[in-house]
Parts: sequence; structure tokens; C-alpha cells
Amino acid sequence: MERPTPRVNSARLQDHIGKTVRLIGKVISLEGESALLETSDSGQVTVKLSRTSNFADVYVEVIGRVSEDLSITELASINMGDKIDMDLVEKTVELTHRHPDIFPSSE
Amino acid sequence: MSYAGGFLQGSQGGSQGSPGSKRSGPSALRPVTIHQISTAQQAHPEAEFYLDGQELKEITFVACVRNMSRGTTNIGYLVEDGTGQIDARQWVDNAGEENEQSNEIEVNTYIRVLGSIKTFSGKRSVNCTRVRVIEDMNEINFHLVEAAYVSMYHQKGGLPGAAGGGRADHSHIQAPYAADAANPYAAAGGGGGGGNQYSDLPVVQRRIMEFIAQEVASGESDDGVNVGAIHRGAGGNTSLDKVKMELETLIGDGHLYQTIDDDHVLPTN
Repeated sequence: MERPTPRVNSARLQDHIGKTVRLIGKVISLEGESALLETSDSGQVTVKLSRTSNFADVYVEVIGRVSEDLSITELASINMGDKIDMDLVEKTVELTHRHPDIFPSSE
Repeated sequence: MSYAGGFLQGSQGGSQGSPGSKRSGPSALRPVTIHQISTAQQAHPEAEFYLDGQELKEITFVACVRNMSRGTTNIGYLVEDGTGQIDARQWVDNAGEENEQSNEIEVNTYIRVLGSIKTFSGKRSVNCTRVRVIEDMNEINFHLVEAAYVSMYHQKGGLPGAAGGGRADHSHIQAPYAADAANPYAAAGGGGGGGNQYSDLPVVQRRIMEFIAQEVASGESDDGVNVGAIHRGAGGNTSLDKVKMELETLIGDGHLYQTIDDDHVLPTN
């Protein structure tokens, strides 16, 4: 994680294929090796879970690599509790991409 | 959200200088991203750090702990916030309460750090004065917005009355700062030099401060402005108790002080 991990929503995934991003989402379903998250822009993203994955809360922050099919392969994640303001998350995502001097992109 | 104003000392002393040339005091606590710490300018290895033309002394940031090492005299953290990573060190005194705080901290948790930047053999790190676990996860995003807001403030000036082009870019980040759905720009019209200095306050507090400033300007309130008068003049539909509560907040935040008794106040500037 030495490199920056831009904060994204579902719409921004296609700009980050092959890169590592971080994404806050609401866990919709969790089965076996993958999970489905609702993102801050009300889209959906499939997360391929790592073996040590531990999604326990309503909201999670996933750090992972974006695949060609716009799914994310989880590298790490953090449970975010059940009181995340998704409007704030969405505004923050858009804000961070407008200010690369403060929030650098991945490369 | 008046707490945010504390980081911008210029917002309180705004009447003295033109909006474009506000300077933070040397001890201003600045919210930053780790990328900003890494890219802050330094004239030579012993010199002060500068960011957006402001000296970076006390800083605060929110980041995720990726590694931790406990020594006998200090705790080392490797922290990362999505914009970069940096080493942070907290010195512990054995009897101190700091220990209890940092005992809760584990790898993979978000923490709020207060500290200052250090350079050692060309590598930057943070000397922590205070570290605590983030409990409300919205603080993570709040911090990012705040860091951007303060940077924009220093790059382009404060919200209302700021030099030209700054405004459009600020408009998208005003919402988190205007909890009462008040538009910070609403105050921009009147008042000239001093009229916009309270624009970062919630709407009721701003009305109160503007009313008090008006009373003081009229020259009839040398002993302080009466609480009842404030309620009548600036309270609107707000109850007297609520006005008193807001006054207490404003006193606590250093905007006002009590004069001859508890029912009379004057602005600090």
C-alpha cells in the first residue's frame, strides 16, 4: 500500500482497471468467495474475497485491484460499522478526484 | 460544526486583514493528508515545512494503521490514508494515560493523529502528540473534506468575499460545513470588510454575531450586549434557552466573552 489508493464509486471503476483502489460499500450479499456491495453512487460492485476476509459490518471499506470485468479482488478491508453517511462518501469520492494535489491518483 | 473554524485562525481575525492575505497563527492545527505531508516544501533539511504558503507546525490526520511496533519508550506506527503512507512515532511515559489510549489501537484500525513532522536522514515521519481510535467512521471522510477545504482556503481565500475565482470551486464543499442548510454565501452581500467574518458559523450563531457586531458598532453597548436584546434582535423563532446555548458555544469557541455579568457579552475581536 505504498502507492496511493484512490477512493472510488462504481462509476469510476472503469478508469482504474488494473489498479488498486479503495471503496466504501454496503454489503448486500455475501456468499462463499464473493460479496456484492452497493456503492455510494448507488451502483453495485462484486468483490472477490481474500481467504482472510472478514466482512462483519453493514458497511465495509475494501482495498483491492480492479479487474477487466469491473469486479474488485480484495487485498484488505476494514469494517465500517452501520452508520456510514453514503452521501458524504459520494461527495468525498468526487471531491478527491477534483484535487489531485491533495489526493493523488494511483500512479 | 464550528469546531472546524478552529483550524482557520484567519477566520476569526479576518477583520484585520484583507481576505486574500490571511495568515494562520504559528500554532494553527492543520488537517492534512499524508500526501500533503510528503509533498510539503522545506527549504533545507532543518527548515520549517510549508504547505500552500502556510507553515506546517501542528498537523492532524486520519489514517489506517498498517503496522505497529511497541517499544519500551515509544510506539511506532506505519499509517496509510489512501494518499500515501508514513511512519508515526508516539513517545509513551509509563505512568501516563497515553498508554490506555494506544492500547486500543491495533493494526487495521483507523486512527486520528495529532503531531508534527520530523525529518530523519532524509525521511519524513510524524511525531505524535496524541493518537486515538476513530469511533465514528464518518470522521474518515470528514477529515478528507476538511483537509481539502483548508487547502482551498489557503490557496483561494475564504468563502464569501474571497478573491474572484475561488467561489465556484468552493461551492461543492460547502455542504458539510453548513449543517443548518445555510448558505455561507448568504452573508456575503453586506458589511464590507467585517461583514463576512462569521460566514463559517452555523446560521443562528452567525445571526447572533452579526447582531452583536451591529450593536457594538452603534456605540451603545460598551458594557456588553444584553442576552435578552440578542434574543429579540437575532433570535428569530429561536427560544431564549437556545440562544443562551448558542452564546455559550460562541463563548467556548472564543468568539465572545462575558462582561459585567453572565447576561452581557462582547465579541473578542
